[in-house]
Amino acid sequence: MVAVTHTARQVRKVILDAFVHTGQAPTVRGIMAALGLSRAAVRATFREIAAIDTFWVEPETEQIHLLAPFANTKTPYIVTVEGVRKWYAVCGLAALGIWAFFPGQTVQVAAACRDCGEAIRLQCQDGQLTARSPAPLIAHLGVPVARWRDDVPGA
Amino acid sequence: MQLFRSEAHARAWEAQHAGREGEVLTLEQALAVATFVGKDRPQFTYTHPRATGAWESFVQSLGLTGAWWQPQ
Repeated sequence: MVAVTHTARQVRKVILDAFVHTGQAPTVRGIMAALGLSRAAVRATFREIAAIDTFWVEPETEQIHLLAPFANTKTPYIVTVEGVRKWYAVCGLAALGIWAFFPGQTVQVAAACRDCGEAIRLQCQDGQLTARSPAPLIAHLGVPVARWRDDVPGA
Repeated sequence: MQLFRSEAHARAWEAQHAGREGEVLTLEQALAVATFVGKDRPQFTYTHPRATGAWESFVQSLGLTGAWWQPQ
């Protein structure tokens, strides 16, 4: 089991809460203000968070690109919750698991077949797939599990 | 993980993207993996199953065996 500080878990929660409520990641400055931490302290927690979850920060700009299942940039996986469309999932796997952050709510995912571009629609609630279009759909994992950390967008 | 209309579409995409040859899952398998990995993510104490040792036995239960699915 990986040991993680309470502070790192607090930072992770701040990031996830921001994604849930705004659709976007907070800035480092925002995290500093929320928790009363220094920039160095926040940056130190980023390494811990990456050890326990799928997390990607641009080192030079400190911009948070993603904390699974949420992406901070537009992706092919557009998420709508109870009719409100403001989230992007990291990938197809994240799109299929993002419902956990919206208990009791209808989560819809709009995507497209990466080969032909045909529209794909999924609907989930509390872990149950309640609708899909087209009916035959498959998922493709392009990166071995051991390399997920190194190649998040490709996975 | 990407979504496709069928395995034929996934393989056609692979043919156009060198180095992305991979494994295909049914949507049900993918949902099971997504649920296993993601259902506890909102929890304060969450740690990804790859880091807890829980991953290997889970993927084996889905019939996903081989080096491709191992976390190390």
